[in-house]
Amino acid sequence: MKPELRPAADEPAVLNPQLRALAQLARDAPAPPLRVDAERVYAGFLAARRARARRSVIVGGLVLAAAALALVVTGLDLGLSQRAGLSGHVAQDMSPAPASDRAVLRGPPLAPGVRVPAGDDDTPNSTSEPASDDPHALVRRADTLRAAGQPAAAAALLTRVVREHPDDPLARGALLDLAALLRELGRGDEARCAYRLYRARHPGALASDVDRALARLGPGPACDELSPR
Amino acid sequence: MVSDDGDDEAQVLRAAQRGDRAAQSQLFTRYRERVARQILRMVGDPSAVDDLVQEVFIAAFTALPRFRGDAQLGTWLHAIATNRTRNWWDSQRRRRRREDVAAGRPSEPQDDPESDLVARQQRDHLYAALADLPDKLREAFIARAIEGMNLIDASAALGAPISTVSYRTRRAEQLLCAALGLPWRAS
Repeated sequence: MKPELRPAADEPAVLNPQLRALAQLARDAPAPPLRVDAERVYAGFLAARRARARRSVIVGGLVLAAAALALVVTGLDLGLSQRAGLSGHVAQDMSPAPASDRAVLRGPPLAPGVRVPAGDDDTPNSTSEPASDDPHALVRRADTLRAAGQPAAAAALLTRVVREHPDDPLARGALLDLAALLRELGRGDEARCAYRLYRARHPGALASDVDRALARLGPGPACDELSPR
Repeated sequence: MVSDDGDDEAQVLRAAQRGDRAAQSQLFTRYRERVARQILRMVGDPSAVDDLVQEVFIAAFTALPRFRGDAQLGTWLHAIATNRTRNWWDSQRRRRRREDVAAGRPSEPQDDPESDLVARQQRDHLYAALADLPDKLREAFIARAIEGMNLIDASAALGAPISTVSYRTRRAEQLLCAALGLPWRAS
């Protein structure tokens, strides 16, 4: 189920006032007296280091043993092959089966328009471009693309969120992500425009961070929304 | 997140990376309260804090030689604490399943004033609901709503883009409202 979102001026962390009050209670919980001290931590650190050294020795030994075993097996295999006078037809027998002979797992075809939903833990659905212009799908796809080392493609999707869904609360974070991505891509003028647009849309929110980012970028041309003039 | 005496901290950090005991002790003293507060906000169970603080610092000092300073030390420790508490939540879930306890909070001391008791019960309800959230949603909600981080700090601490943190927080709120019987719309 997709969350029902509505625009908020400064996107508070929690919209529901009762839940906000509960979160505040959790934030204000009195800290318990700490019994752990530096000595205990240091003792634990030494024990962890010793355990890691032991593991290294064991793993190293296992790797050596496996390598030795592989050598022995390879030697035996070579000896047997030579004695049996194996010829080319064996190699042919061991070649991969033709594609038509291989087992293929297929499910029933999906009806047109049916999409496999992503999990609740927002695991990105990386198999395809977002079918709709749903801002959540766009943001998640952008996240996947960025993790896959495709920042330009991610920036294109975030641009769509900012342009096509300016009133969606996700557009605020998307705009900041877009600005940072454009800066990383060396598209400084566009990054500057993104930060300026953020400042215009959300005056006061994270202002000092945005001003610092703009100062790092230095002066540049005027902007028409996201585009430098 | 930036300490006032940044140069001093850098020196202490370098010494700690070499395994210097006194330097590690200084870092522990400097950050323990903050890490403890963070962990309490993450797990909501005071009895778990001591062990988790110890685990976090042992893991941190073990990994410290590989710390390259790309992030603030506080942010780095936050990430380690997030991982450790994730393990804790996993073990709590397993334990709850094993014991098949529906409202399975440990018994509490009885000598608190009534108002404290009510507050703790409300917190317990919240953390019981948080326990059922997927890790990433829970971590985003805790960072934003309980730890009070802004979007940029939460994004750095969780290693996720800002828009993703925003999405996860909203989704977590929706699920928590459903679990706690609260209306989703804030009006």
